[in-house]
Amino acid sequence: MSYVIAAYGLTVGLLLLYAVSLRRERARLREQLSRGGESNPG
Amino acid sequence: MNVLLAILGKDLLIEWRRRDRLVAMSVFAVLVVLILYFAAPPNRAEGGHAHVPGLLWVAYVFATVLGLGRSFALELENEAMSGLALAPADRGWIFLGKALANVLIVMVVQLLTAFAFALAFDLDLWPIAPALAGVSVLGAIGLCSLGTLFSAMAVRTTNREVMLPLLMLPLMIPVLLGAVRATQGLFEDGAVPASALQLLLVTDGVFLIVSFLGFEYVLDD
Amino acid sequence: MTDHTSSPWHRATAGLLFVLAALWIYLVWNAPIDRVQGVVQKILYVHPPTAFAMYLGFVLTGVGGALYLWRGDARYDRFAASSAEVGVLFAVLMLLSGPIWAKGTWGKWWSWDLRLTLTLVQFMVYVAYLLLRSFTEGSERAARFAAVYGIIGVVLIPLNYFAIDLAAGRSIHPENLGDGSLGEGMRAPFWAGVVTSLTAFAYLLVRRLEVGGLRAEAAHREAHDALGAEG
Repeated sequence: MSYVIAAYGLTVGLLLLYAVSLRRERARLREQLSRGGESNPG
Repeated sequence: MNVLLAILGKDLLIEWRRRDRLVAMSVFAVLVVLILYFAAPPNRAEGGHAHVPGLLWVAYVFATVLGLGRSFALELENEAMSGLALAPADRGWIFLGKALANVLIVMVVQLLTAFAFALAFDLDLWPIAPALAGVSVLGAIGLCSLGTLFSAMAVRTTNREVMLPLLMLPLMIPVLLGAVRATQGLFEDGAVPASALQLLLVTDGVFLIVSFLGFEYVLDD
Repeated sequence: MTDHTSSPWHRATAGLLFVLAALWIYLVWNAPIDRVQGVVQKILYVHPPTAFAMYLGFVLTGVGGALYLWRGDARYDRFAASSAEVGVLFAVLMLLSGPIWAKGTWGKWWSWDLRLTLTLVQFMVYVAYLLLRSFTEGSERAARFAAVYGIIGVVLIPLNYFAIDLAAGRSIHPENLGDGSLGEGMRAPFWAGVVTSLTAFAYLLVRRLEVGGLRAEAAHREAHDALGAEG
């Protein structure tokens, strides 16, 4: 059973981690672009 | 075709005058043989040299990667990269000229390495010399075709010494498997297994076509 | 280049992913327990599906690279780069869940069988692809080199398969990928897993494309500002 939990946990966990890091990167870039002058609504 | 011969002649002439690549590769290959001998001495108790073909190709591959790294570094240092790109010729021929020069240089290194190997591991290679030479040449063609293409890319990266093996080695699996199995067959029964020979020939063909076409895009316009 | 207006795609894939994931969890939870392998067999509802997504990612990398070389549009290059990155993520997932299943079933973490070896090699190829991108000077050149390397990586998959098949001997993997070897009541969770995994791939790819577009825009603006400051 612990093998199953490890496999599913790692898979779903890493996918979520990647999704979150993409979301952060997007927020950072949007903020950077909107600070850069011209209006840039999401 | 003339372009091919011109590039080939130029590279071989440079190599003949400076001999730096040849010397560096050969010394390196002999050092690899030395290390391999102490890392995996032949097991006389079992009477076998089962892993020796693999070791021989490890030495070949390392020396080849080292030599290929210099193939385009030379052009870059002499500011000749853009000259190659501007040459009014099909870039495929430029590629073939470079690759052929590399194959010839690698063949010389292979010959020296095989001698060192035979001495170190106490092998009698004379009876199988012609067949071994054939397998070595087929392997060299496979290594140098994609290798020359990747060398032209790696030379434009910030850490070219690391980049070339990283690009090359994972894609060299078919060549190495074919060459090692062919060499194994030679060592064991004195004949090259048909499947290994087939794999080597197919791989060489595919690699040559792919690199010939791909080279079009690796020189800057 | 305003391809960060992808919110409809984004929302569609996110919604679909949510529904499919819920269905998948429900089906996996209620799937019968394998008589031979026991509960460990349930890893098969997560491991092969990530393999599908991985190979999809690598094929799309090659396709994106080919389109880039043909058309020269930087958007195709961003598509190829994004596919490779998400594909490598799925390869990592597969290389993690695979050994866990193997340890539970075969009793050892790794075996040099055909598909394992091939996957490991492809993984290395695309790690090299991402490194090549990040170490090449100049974005146009990086795109060109990456396209060539990505296409070669895809073209050589059959050759690698053939070569490793010859060397590795018999495969321990189920001969036909999953379906035929699945027992009663196991097909639904398996295929739900495949669809969910591919949707997760699409969702992450869309998000990664957004980020890629924004990065290009930021780099563009930076270059623009630098030019303005100089003169």
